[in-house]
Amino acid sequence: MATPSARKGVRMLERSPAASAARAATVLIVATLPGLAAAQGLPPPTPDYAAPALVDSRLAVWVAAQLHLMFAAFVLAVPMFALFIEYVGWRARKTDPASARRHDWLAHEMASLLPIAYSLTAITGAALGFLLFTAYPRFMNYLSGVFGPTFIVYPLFFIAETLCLYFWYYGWERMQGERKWLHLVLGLALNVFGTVVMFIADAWATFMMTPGGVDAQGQLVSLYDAVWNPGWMPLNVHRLIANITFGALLCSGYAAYRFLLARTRAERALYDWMGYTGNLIALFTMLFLPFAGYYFGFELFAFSATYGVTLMGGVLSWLFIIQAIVIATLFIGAAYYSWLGLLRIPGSERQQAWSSVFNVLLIGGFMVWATPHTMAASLEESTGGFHPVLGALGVMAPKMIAVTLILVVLYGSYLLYRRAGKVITVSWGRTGERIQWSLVGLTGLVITALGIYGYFAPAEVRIQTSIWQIVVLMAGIVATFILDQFLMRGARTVADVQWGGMPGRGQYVLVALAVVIVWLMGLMGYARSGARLNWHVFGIMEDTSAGAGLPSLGEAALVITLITAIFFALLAVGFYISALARGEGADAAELESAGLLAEEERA
Amino acid sequence: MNGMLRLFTPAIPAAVAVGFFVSFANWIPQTHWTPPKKLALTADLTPAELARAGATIVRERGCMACHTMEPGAGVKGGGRGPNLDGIAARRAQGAAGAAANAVDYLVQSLYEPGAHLVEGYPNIMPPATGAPAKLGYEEVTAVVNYLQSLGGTASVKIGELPRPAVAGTAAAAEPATAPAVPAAAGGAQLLTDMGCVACHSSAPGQQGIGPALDADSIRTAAGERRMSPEAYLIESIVEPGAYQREGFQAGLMPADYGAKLTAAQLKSLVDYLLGEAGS
Repeated sequence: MATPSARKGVRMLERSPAASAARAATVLIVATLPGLAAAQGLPPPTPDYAAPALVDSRLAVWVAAQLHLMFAAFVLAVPMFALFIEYVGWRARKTDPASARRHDWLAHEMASLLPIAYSLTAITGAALGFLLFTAYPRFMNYLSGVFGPTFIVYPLFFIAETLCLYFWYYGWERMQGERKWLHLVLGLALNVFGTVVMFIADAWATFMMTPGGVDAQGQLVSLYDAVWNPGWMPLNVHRLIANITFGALLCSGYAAYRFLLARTRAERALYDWMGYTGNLIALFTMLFLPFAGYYFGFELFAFSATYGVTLMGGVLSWLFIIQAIVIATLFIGAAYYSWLGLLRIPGSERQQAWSSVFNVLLIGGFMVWATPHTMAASLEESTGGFHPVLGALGVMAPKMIAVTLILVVLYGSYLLYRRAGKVITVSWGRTGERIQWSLVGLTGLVITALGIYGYFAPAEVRIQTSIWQIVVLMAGIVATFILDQFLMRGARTVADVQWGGMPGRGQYVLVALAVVIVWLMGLMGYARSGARLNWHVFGIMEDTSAGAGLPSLGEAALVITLITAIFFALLAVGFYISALARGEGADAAELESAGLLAEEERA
Repeated sequence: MNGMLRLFTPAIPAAVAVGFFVSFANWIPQTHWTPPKKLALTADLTPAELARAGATIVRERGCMACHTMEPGAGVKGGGRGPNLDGIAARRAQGAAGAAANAVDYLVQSLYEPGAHLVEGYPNIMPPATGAPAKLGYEEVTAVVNYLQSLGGTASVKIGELPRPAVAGTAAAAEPATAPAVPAAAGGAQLLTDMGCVACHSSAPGQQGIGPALDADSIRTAAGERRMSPEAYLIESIVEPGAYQREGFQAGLMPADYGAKLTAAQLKSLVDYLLGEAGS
C-alpha cells in the first residue's frame, strides 16, 4: 500500500484529463515499439504491484532498464563523434584527400555498429516498458499522469531520430561529393533528435529522485517544473559526457578485436588507428566526467542532504569505494594504452621514461580518492563521524585535490605524447617548454592550495573552492594547450607513427576498458536507483512492495556482471550480423586510400 | 579451436578485472537494507515505553548517519549534525529566539529543523515527517521522549505534542494528520475524538472553517457531486481532496482519515452523520 498522501495524489492524477491523455500517449509509445501489443489495453490501476514474469519483477526491471540504458547510451554517443570525425574528413577533402577518405572510412566504420545496436535499444526499451507497466501499474499510472504530454512528444522525436539514423547510415555512399553537406546536416539532425529523446527520458528518471512541479501530495502543479526538476540538467550533462566515453571505449574495444583478427598489416594499421582515436576521445571526455558527476551530486545534496549521507556516508558508502577502484582501472588503463602507443613512434624513449612516474602519481591519487569517509554498511551502522583509522582524509577536500591532480597528470602525459617523434624548431622552444611545464606545475600547486584552504573552511566555502579548482585546471589546460600550438608549429618529424605496430597487449587493454566502462555504468545505474532507498518517487510515493529495499553490494555486483555479460553477448551477435551484411573486413580499396602505411610497406 | 581461443583470449584481462570487482564487492560487509517497519504506538503507552520505541526509531531511520552520541563531547561531536548525548539537559531552556523549553525545542527541531540552526552546522536536515524518515505523529512523540531521556526524563504522551503544519496552507496550526481514535468509539464520539468539530458544525446551515454537517448541507453537497449522501461522505472523509467545494480553503482537511479509521468506524461515523441528518 502506498502512503495516504501519495495515494491521494495518485488517485487525483488517475482521474485527470492529463492522465487519460497520458494513457493514450502510452499506447502510442508502445505501439511504436515491437512486442508490446499486449500492453495496449492497460489494466485498471487497481493493484499497486503485480508479478508479470517468472523471475522477480524487481530484478527483471533492473536488468531490462540497465540494458536499455547501455544500448541507448551507445546509439546516442556514436553518432556524435562519428559526425565529428566525418566533418574533420570533409574539411580536409581539398588539402589532404587521403586523410579525408580515411576519416570518412572511420566515421562510417563506427556508424556501421549503429543499426543493430539501435534495434537492440528498441527491443530492450519495449521489454522495460512492458515490465514497468505490468509490474508497477500504480506507479506508472502516476508517472503517466504527471508526464502525459511528454509521453506524446517522446515517440515523435524517437521516430524522427530513427528516420535520420537510417537515412544517415544507409545514404552514406549516395551522399558523397557534392551532397556531402546534406549528409552532415542529416547527421546533425540525428544528434539533435537523439539528444532530445535522452533529455525527455532523463526528466522521468530524475523526477523520481528530485521531484519538482508537484505539491506535497504529489499532485501536478507545473509540468515545466516536473521536467526541469533539480536533478534534470545535471543528469543531462553527466549522461552526455559519459555516453561519449562509453561509446568511444566500445568502439575502441571493437577496433581491438578487429586488429587482433586482422589478416594484413594494412588492416591492422586501420584498426590500430581506430582504437587510438576511440581511446583519445574517451580520455578527453573523461577529463570532464568527475566534475559532471560532482555537479549532479551537489544538486542531489542541495535537494536533500539525505542523498549525500546515503551515497557517501551511509548505506551506499562502500559502493563508492568500488566506484573509485573501477574508475582508477579505467583511467590508468586508458593512460597505459596511451603510453604503450609511444612504442609505435621510433625515438620516443625520452617520453617513455616518464610513464612509470605518471603511473605512480595516478595510483597515489586514486588511493586518496578511494579513501572512505565512513565505513558504514548500513544506515544503522553509520556513526556520523569520520573514518576510524583514516580520520579526515576521507573528506571532500583531499579527494578533490586528488582527482583534479590526476587530471593534471593525464594532461601532462598527453603533452609528452605530442612530442614523441618530433623536434621543436622554433627559436624560443627551450624557454617556451620551461614556461609550459612551469604553468602545469603551477596549476597543480594552486589546485592543492585551494584544496587545503577548503579543508579548513565551512562546507559552503569548500564547495566554492572545488569549483575554483576546476576553473584553475581548465585555465591551466587552455593556456598550456594554446602555448603548445605555437611551440609545435613547424616541428620537425623525425619518426612517423607506425600504425599497426601497437603490441597485442595494448589491444587487450582496449577490450578490458570496454568491459570495465560497461560494468561501471551498471554500478552507477544501481547507485542512482538505490539512492532513493524505498521510494519510487522520493518523498512522494513510497515503495511498499514485498521486495522493497536494497540487495547487498555483493549481490548487486553479481547482477551487474550478469547484465554486462548479456550486453556484450547481444552486442557481439549484433556486430556479427552487421559484419555479415557488409562483407568480411575492410576492402582493399579502402585500405589503400587510408594513407596510414608508408608506400614501401604497402608494396 | 584456435578460432575460439583467438576470440576469447583478449577477454581474459577484462574477466580478471571484473572478477576482482565482484570479489571485492563480496569481500566487504554484506548488508541487505530493508525499509524500517512502522511501530504500533498507541495512546496508552507511557513516556518511558515511548522513549524505548524512540530509540529504535532513531537507530533505524538514519538519524545516526549525521548525529553522534558522544558522552561528554558537548554539542559538537564528530558528526555532520550536533551530538545528541545530553541534548535534553543542554536545551532545558530551549534556545534563544526559538523554543522556550526542551520539548518545544525538540519538536521544532523535528518538524522544522531549519528554523533554528546550531552554530557551526549547515541546514542539511530534512523534516522528520518527510522523506526518508517519514515519521508519523506518534513516532515523533516517541523520538521526543527518547531525546528527552538523553540528559532528562521522558514525559510526553501521545496527543500532547502539536501536530506538524499542513504544507502550503495559511492555517499552519491545522492538523496534517488525523488523531488516533479508540477502536470501539461510536459515531458521536468519533466526531469529537477525531477533531471534526474543530472545523465543522452540525448546526443547520452553520459553516465553520469546513462545510456544515447538517442534513440539508450534506444532501445539497452530495447532489452537487451527483453522488449518494453515503458515498459522498465516505469520499469526503477518506479522500477530501477529490472534490473541492467552493468557498472553502483546499488542503486543510487531513488526508489520512482513511488510513486511521477502520471500516467499522467509518461506517459508524457515516451512519451517525446521516442519522443526524435524517432526524
